[in-house]
Amino acid sequence: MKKVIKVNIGNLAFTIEEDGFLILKGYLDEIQDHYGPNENGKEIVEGIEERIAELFIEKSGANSVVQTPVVKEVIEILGRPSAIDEEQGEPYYSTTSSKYQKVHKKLYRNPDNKVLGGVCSGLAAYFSLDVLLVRILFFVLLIGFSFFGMVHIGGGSFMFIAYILLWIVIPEARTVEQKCAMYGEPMNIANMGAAFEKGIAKGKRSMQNAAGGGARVVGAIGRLFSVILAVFFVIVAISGLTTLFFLFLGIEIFQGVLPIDMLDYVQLGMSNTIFLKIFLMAFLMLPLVGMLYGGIKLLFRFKSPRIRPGLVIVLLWIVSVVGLGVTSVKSTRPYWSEAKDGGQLPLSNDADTLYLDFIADTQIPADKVSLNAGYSSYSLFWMDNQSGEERFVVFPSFKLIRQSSQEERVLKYATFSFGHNYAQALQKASKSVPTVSMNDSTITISPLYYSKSNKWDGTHQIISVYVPDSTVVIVKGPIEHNFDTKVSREWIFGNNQSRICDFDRWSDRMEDKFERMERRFDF
Amino acid sequence: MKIMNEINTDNIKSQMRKGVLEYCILSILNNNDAYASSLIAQLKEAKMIVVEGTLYPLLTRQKNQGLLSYRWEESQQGPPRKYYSITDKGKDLLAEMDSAWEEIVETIAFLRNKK
Repeated sequence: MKKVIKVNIGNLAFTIEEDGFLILKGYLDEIQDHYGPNENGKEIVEGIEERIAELFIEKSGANSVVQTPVVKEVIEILGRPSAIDEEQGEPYYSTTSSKYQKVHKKLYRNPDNKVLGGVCSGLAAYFSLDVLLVRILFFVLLIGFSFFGMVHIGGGSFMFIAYILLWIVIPEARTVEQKCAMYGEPMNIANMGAAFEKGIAKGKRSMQNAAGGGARVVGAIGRLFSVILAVFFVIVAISGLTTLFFLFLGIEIFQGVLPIDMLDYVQLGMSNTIFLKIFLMAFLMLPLVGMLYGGIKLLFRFKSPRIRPGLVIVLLWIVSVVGLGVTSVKSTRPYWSEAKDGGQLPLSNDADTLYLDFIADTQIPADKVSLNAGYSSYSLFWMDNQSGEERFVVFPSFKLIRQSSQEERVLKYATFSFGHNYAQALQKASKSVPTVSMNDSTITISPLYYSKSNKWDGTHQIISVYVPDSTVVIVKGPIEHNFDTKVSREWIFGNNQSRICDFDRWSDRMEDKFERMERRFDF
Repeated sequence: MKIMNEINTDNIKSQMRKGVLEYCILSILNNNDAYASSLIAQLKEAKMIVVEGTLYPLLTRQKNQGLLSYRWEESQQGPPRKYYSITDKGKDLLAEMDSAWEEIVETIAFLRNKK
């Protein structure tokens, strides 16, 4: 038993099987939609209906029930709108704005434009965005998540896992139809042609690349690793370059910001270090630039431009290595040779006390000096601007050497200096020989002054006094010092053992400290 | 590559058919007035159309262009049917189409026989 329906087609009554009726109704709706609701559309539908009626009578007779296969046959004879348009030579989609033109946009992975799985490319097509934008967004999020460590969702791995999931879940657009649906474009000859050509090109490439499924899997895994490597390269390169940039920038800035820019008072023989800096920078940064380029190239798989940036980077790096070597060696030139210039003064044999007078052309600012004094050495310098200019006042290092009474009492003074060759070093040394004078039992020592206009050139002055043990040596002036104040303390430990400790460098402050300690530990 | 060739030939054929289909309709109607069904029968016989539905949009278009008109006439089976006939404007166009057609045929023949 089958359900039948009575209908009026082309002003004639027919009895049609229910399925057949539904199919016929769908077909007529299709025609109506395609040709539109206007007068023309109505006329065309009328004509076609008329013809359907004729064909029904022809096939099944006027009074019998129209079977479903007959309905299908008749529809085939008249043709669906796509077949009609094709026969008329008009592209199917362009006739009207019917619902058949609207192609449902679907989310696919794009195999024609992919870095890894074509996920970003597919998303870009779906949301009608630029692929590059989506990729940058994805990358920024990946890095962002990594940096700001959203630990509870796994940091950077969140985006990574999300990508893998999307890769698995979203199907790849394989057929021309799917590729058109990916962009939401209707299928037509032009699209098909373009897609077809693309397919051929791709086929060639994949034939070159690999044959068979096994190779494809290996290729995919290899691609995954190369992408991970590429991302790693890019991250390392960017962070490295940033660090180096700020390092160099920082050095340049802080050199000028330091409260006392020591380098302003120093003349080390390298008048211009700019080349050294440039070569050092190139030497450190170029490998990172190369890494960045390589990573990006690996990631987006583009062909090298004609200028071959990779080769250029390598060549530049070799140049920077050579340059750095040469400038480094050159910068050590002022230190290749060492020289000494000085003299000696005899000391009177009868004096049992020797006085040292350190005299500068300005007052010694007792609260500012830097002093390093023990029972065999005394070195003193300070910085002030009493003379109107900020300058260092540096006395030669004083050394006291005890010897037997038979040996000659003598004062030796000398300047040690470096230079490119001996002659240069000697010239430098002789320019800054210590000024020492002897008057009765007082030795007067003058300092050297270094300022921005008269920079320190790396020389070192020493005054040595050779006297017997019995001679007392005392520094006069505001910074008094008795070289013979050898401080001995007896320490008694818990097991009643005692030990005598001698202190070479003793000061009032140490005395205070020691007394406080004694009180606390009840020595 | 084979598929591409087929697509192209089909396309060329349908383009050619489209060009002459309207010419065919006018030619048929120039001889006799006709129902749509008899037009279809003749065109199918001449292998000018495959799907019958193709005819109806063309008839509508030509009627709108004033190349043909129709009147309602009783048919053997039941209700009245549209009976198409060519107009004067249609005849003018047909004459032009005839000469154009002859020209094309001559040209093709000339080109094909040229050695």
